[in-house]
Amino acid sequence: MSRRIKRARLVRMASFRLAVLGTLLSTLAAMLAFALIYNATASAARHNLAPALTQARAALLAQAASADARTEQNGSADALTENDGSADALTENDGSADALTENDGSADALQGPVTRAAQAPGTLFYALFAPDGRELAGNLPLRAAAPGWRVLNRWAGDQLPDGMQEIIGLETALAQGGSLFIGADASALAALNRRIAYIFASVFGIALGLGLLISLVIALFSLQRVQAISRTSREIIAGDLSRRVKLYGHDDELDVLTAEVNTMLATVEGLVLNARHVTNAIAHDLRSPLARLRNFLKTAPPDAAALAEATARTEEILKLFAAMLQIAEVEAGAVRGRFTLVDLTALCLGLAETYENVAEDLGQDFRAEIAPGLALRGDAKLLAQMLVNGIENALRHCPPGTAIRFRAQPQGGWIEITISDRGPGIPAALREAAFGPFVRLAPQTPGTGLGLSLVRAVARLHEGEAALLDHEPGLILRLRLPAPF
Amino acid sequence: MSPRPARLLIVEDDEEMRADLETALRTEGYAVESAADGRQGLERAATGGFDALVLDRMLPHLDGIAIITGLRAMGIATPALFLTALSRVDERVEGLRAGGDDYLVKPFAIAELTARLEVLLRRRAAQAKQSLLRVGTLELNRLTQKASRDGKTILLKPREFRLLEYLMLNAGKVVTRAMLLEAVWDFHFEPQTLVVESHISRVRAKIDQGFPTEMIQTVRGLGYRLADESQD
Repeated sequence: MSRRIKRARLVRMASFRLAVLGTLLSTLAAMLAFALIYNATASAARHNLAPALTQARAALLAQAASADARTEQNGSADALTENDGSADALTENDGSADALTENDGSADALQGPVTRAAQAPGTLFYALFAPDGRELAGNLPLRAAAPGWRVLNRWAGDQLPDGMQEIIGLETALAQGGSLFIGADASALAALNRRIAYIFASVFGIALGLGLLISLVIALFSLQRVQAISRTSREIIAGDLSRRVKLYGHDDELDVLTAEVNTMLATVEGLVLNARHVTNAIAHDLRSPLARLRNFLKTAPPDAAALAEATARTEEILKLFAAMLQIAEVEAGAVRGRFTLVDLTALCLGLAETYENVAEDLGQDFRAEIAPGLALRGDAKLLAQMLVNGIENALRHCPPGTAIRFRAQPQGGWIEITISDRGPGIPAALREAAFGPFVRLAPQTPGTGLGLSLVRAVARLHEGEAALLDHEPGLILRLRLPAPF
Repeated sequence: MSPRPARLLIVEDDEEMRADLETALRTEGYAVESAADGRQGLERAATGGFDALVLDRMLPHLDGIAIITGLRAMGIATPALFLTALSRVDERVEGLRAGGDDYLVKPFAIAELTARLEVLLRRRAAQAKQSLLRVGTLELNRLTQKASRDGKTILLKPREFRLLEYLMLNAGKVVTRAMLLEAVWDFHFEPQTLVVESHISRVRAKIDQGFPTEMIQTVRGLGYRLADESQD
């Protein structure tokens, strides 16, 4: 018999896996929370910066426009001298407003104002890009990017002025190509974000570390207990049915499980021991009559009398088998499904009437006292057989003239049935053993040795009990069956 | 025996058992046919016009219970006796509830089987709920539970009444000890004391005392028979 049983391993343990999964999920949750906070602060920063940046941009564009207008004026003087068209020049001059809008967004025109603004002391940073992406002017070495908000970070590889961590700015496209970036120092915001990140990391880190550690300890603890259970199981598989799993006394789910497993083991052990006992008993009690039968058949004369004797002996063996099967059936308890309300008083009175006659023929003094109105849920045929076994035991094992009493009455929640005699009795040490299968204390009296086993099995089937007590002198078989009313 | 032998159908899957039963029952004077499985058994039982059926409880295709349930559903009331290897109480109840008439646990003596078959075959005949049973000069009032022989009143205890009633219902037939234990005491086991004998002797003393002929006859090794004086 080769059975592969996997040993429990830490990484395979459900509790450990759950702990790791939980840790991963909380890490993800922490990261998500941080991302949300970061996004919120960044959005607030943009909101605050936006007016200043737009204003600066407008100022630059205005400067560029006026510078343009001046160069135009110089040119118009030439034109004026050449064409003498002052009116034209005038109209051209008039169009200076147009020129301003037209020139709005010319990278070339912005070059001067941006350079001046960049050199002037201030908190803003500029970068002017030609349509080809070249940086024309500014105080920030930068490459052109798509219009919109840009975050420049030292850690991200952007070259920022010394002592600066982060710049947030707005890049805008210019009408005639190129783009303009205007940004502001956001190092304070970066520092705030860093601090938030730091707090998050430390708080969650500690929590996660502790969680992981605790789950590891729990997993190791359960692993140890599971291994204890599997160790015990292996010992039981190896054949030692008396092994039990150790209880830790915590009353936790594992202890509850362990206690139930132990109860199950005890039941199984009881059944196995009983089966072993019955097997041994069969080997002994069934083999010997079979062996005797074989010997008889070997030596018997081939006549009708011998045939009859052999048939009778075979029938005895078959009866033994039937009795054993019946006890097994009763012990299995399947009959409970067919329980009906049994009028125990009527049943007992019928048996009393029957056995008064039988006892009279045997010369016994048999009398019955049956209380009225006794009833219970049960199997009438099995109850009758149980009582018959008890009554017949007394009738058969007592010498003639013995007083035998059959009583049935309610007794504190029970229906108590006693069959008492003033016969030879059974020594105290043997009374309990008498219920065992194949125990025959009086081998000279014919019987299977299964009568009292059936009595107890039927009593237990009805959630009752059977006991042999001292009648001083004599014996009492006391049966207690639960009274339903 | 009636002039025409009773026709029996045996439904039994065990070949050896079936052959033994056929031989034994033919020897007893029955006209015997047999079937080896449940389906065949049901067909034959439904069409064959048998007087009684002997059915194994466990059969291939259809078990004994299913055969009886099927037959009874078709309105066929042929009496049936179940044979079973199991003596379980609930098995017995199930068989009788399905419409079986008697139940015999394997192994059994052929004499036990024939005694029960005779009772089954007889039971078919007008065995109504008459309140007065009469066998010869013996009368039993089933309402007052009083008996009389030749007009002489006999007082019976409850068990004695049921014993005599059963004997009278099956007058002329052999009733075995097991049949009496089941019918009179509802004992489906063999007691260790002489329960039947004790009661037979009491009933016998009451009905036979003072009369030249013994009505309750002992059939050695098997049981008893109430002699039907009018028929003898």
